[in-house]
Amino acid sequence: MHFTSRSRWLALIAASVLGVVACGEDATAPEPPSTVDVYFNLNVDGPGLQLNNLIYTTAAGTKYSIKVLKFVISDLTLHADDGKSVKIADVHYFDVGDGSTQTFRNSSVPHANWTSVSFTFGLDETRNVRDKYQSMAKFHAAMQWPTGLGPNLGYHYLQLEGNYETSPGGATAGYTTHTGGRQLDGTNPDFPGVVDATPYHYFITVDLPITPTHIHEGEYGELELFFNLNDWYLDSTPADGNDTSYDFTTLGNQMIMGNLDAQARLQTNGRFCFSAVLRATGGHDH
Amino acid sequence: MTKYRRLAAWVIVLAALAACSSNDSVAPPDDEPECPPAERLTLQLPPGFPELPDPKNNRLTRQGVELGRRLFYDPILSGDSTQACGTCHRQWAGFGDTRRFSEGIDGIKGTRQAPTIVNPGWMLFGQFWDGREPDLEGQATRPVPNPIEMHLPWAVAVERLKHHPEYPDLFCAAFGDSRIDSLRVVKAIAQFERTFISTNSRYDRWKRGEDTLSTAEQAGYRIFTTEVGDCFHCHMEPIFSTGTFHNTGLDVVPVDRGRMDVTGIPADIGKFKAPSLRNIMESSPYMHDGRFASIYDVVNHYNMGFHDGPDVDPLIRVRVTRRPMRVGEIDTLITFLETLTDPTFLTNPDLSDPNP
Repeated sequence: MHFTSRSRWLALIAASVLGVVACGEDATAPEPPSTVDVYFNLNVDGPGLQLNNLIYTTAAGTKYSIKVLKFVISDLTLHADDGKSVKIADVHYFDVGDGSTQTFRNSSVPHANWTSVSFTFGLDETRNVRDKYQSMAKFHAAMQWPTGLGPNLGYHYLQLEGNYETSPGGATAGYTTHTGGRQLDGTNPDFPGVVDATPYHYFITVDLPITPTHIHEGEYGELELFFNLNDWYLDSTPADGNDTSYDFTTLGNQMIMGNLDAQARLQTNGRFCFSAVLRATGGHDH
Repeated sequence: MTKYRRLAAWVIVLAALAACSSNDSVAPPDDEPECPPAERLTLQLPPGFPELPDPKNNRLTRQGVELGRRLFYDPILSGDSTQACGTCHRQWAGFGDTRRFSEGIDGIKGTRQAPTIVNPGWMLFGQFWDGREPDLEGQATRPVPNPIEMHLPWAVAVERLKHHPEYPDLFCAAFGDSRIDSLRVVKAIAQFERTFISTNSRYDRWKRGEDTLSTAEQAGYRIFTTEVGDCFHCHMEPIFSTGTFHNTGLDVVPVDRGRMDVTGIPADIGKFKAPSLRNIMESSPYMHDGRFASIYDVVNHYNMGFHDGPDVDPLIRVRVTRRPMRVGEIDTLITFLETLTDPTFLTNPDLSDPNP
């Protein structure tokens, strides 16, 4: 192979240019991740949620209002049609009275064709441990499970509170739908002498299909999680013969945190209150 | 014209280069610290206590806390130099006031009781009974100029401190230079207040395995931490407060609208912050307006004495249909509350008045 002097110079210049380009752009650099903003859409059988207003009606016909809504979700994960999955939140605490908890962003999402979303509503056995989330200061302060109902249990997974009508058009009373586990060591004055050391853990595993949505590398998307709060009180599977309806007048105003029947009903009903939508919003940061 | 454009372009380029290279070569002498950096202070907390929030713009330092301590107890911050923060926030009362309403320098009484200051660094949802200030720094800005409290304009307070024989050096040690302004005053006071940490009551020592509680005290603890007493929802361990706001049914129509006057939300009417119950036996009278003289009055109020209504917190309202605590259970619960008294906190010399 023979090169003229001119072609040698040309080759040298070309190599230099290529070298500069290669230095500036790593050939093995990963593709830029996409960004997903997560929103919670709380509602009662319709759009929007009005707090402190006695306008909602359970399936049993009881009118009620919502004053307090706090919950925790964990392992929020997107799944793609190619088998890829990405966790976009480890543990997230929501408080309807605290705007800083009501949306969050994950900017490390690989691009894929996402087809489903899964999460745990609450904390599973490995996470629902006393003092485990002290670093999440607001969550820890508001949602600890009382030691008298479980010395080793960690947290409520839902606090839903408000007023309800004790009779149609009649006086109101308060309800507190508080969910979590139970573990008794014989000293709880409401369960005198009962030792039930095996902890009962209540949480809900949720797996939701979504319309296949492709978020391209470097672009943005929105994941909206819908919770229909009325479903907590509705027996969504009446055909199975297991009545799980939840009536404020018999359960709502009673001590339900240690009531396994009440906790089981709410866990069963809660499975049906979720849906999700993922939207690709292109290259714009909304 | 082209010539001038080229010249201008070179001037811009050279100026830009000069700007790039100037960072390391010229240190403005005015920015030289007058005092060495203050020493970071890390507080040792017992197991079970969450990490103490330490604001990035006001990290705890040994010198900052010491300055805050001087200021907290110094009447120089009141109009006639007769009252300090510590005048109404008495250490032996959990840094609360045993009078129903505190009295300012002009003899005027407020309409709320001075709240206790116990483990205030963990109050995450606001300071004051109604949470109108988000943090301790904000809280400390209020009483000095308030006409019914210390009644001293901040500008005058700052001038007094500037001309004091010791404060300029103390500010220099705490903040790196001797500049004095109201922001630094409240930062120092807030640092001192974050050290108001009560972790050595009999309850704490029992939890750590260093002490025992009697059978009755433990039974009271169970009433407290179950739905029988249902105290825990607002007074969660180990701070014994969630720092959140609640309408506890004190009045049929609240005279004091409380949190509503901060948020403007009608549903917040009559809401006040749940205080910490640590050292509660030492800080009577109780509630935001000091209406209850004894802890029995408070427990009886929650058990059967509140005024039910749609604005009352559901956590209170549900008690209408639950079985009330029996007299024996109330006594037992109060027996437990007595274990929350922390004598080492109430007499801690590091928290006491350092001024001669």
